[in-house]
Amino acid sequence: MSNIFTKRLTKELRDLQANPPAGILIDKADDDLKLWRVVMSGAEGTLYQGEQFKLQFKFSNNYPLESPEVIFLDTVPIHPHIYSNGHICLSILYDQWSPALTISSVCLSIQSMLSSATKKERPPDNAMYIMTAKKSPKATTWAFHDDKV
Amino acid sequence: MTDQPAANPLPSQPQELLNEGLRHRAQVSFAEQSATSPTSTTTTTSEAASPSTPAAIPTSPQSASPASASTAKSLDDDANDEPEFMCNICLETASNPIVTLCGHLYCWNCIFYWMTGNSPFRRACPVCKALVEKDKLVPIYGRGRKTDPRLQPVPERPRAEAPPQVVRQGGWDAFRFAGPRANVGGNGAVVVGFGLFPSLFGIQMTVGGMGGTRQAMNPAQQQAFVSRAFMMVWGYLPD
Repeated sequence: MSNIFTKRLTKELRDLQANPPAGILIDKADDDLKLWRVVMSGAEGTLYQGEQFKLQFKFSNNYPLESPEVIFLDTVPIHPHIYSNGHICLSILYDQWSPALTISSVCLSIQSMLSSATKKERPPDNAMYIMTAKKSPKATTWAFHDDKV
Repeated sequence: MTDQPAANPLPSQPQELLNEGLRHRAQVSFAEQSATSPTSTTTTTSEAASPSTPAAIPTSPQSASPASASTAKSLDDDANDEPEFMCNICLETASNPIVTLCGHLYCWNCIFYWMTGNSPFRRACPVCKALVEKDKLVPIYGRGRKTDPRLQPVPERPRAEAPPQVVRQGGWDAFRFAGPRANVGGNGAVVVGFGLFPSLFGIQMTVGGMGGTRQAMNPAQQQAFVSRAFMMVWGYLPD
C-alpha cells in the first residue's frame, strides 16, 4: 500500500504546485510526504477575507484509504465548526472520507466551510472539548448535525 | 391494423410480406404515438429531413475547423497530464480495471482494499457513495486480456477472528440446551424439547433466519417444520 501512498502523494503535490486552487498554497511537504503544511487564505467577500491560516495534513501509510489528519495550526479561524485547538468538525475528514477525495478537494471543502459562516464564533462546546480532546482529531467521535455552515 | 399478411392464402414471398406487415405495424403504432403526443410528430419530420443532413455534414467541419482543432489540442494536453482511464483511488491508469455498477473505474487492487475495510462506509463507491458489491463489479478486458482480475485476487489480508458472542439468556440458548438433554434424559426430555420449539419459531420469524426474507412461515410450513423437528428429536432418543 505504501506504493500507492507515495505515488499518489507525489502526484497530488505536483498537481497542487503546478496549478494551485485560488487561496491555497503548499507551504512545505516533508521528504517522506507524511506531513504537509498548507496556507489557506480566506475567500474574498467572506468574513475571513484578508486572513491567512495554516493547515497541517498528516498522512498515515494507509492514505488514501484512510483520511489524513487535518488541523489548523497557530492562528485558528473563529468558526462554529472549528475548535480553538485547531480541530475541525467536518464529516469528510472522518467517517465520510472517500479515497476519491484529494488534498485539493479537502482544502476547498474547508475553505467553503469558512466562506459559508454567517457569524464568527466558536462551537458552543469549545471549552469542554479542548479539555477532553486527544491530540489527534481522529481520536474524537464526531457527530455531524449542522449542514448549514 | 388493416393488413392481413398471415391470413393471406397464397403468400408468394412470405418473408417480404411479413416484413411488410411488421413495417406497417410499426407505422401504425408510430401513428398512434404521434396522435397521442405532439412531440413524436416532430420526430417524423426530422426523420424525413434526415437524408439532407449528410450533405450538410461536409461543410460543417470546414467552417468549424479552427475551433475544433483548438479544443482537440487542449484535450490532448489534458490527456498528457492525466491518463484517460484513471483509477479514482490511486489516480494512475487503472490496472486490472474494474468498473462499478454506478460506472466508476478503479484498479481491482485499489477497490478491493477499500471494500475490505471494517467501516460500513467502506461499502460505498468512493466517488458517488452507491453500494458496491464484489460480485457486481464488472471487470474490463482489453484485447487479449481474458482473466477476471477477481479470480487472481490480491493476497487477502489476515482477518481478525470473531470472538465468541456474549451468551444471551433465553431464545437460542434454551434451544441449544434441548439437544443434549434430549440425548441424555430419555422420554421426559421430549417434553422439554417440545416446550421450547415455539420459542424457536418466534426467533425464526422475527430475526429472519429463513434465507434472509423477513416473512413469517405460513401454517403449512410451520406444520412441516414441527414434524421434521419432531422426527429429529425422536431420532436422538435411545431405544
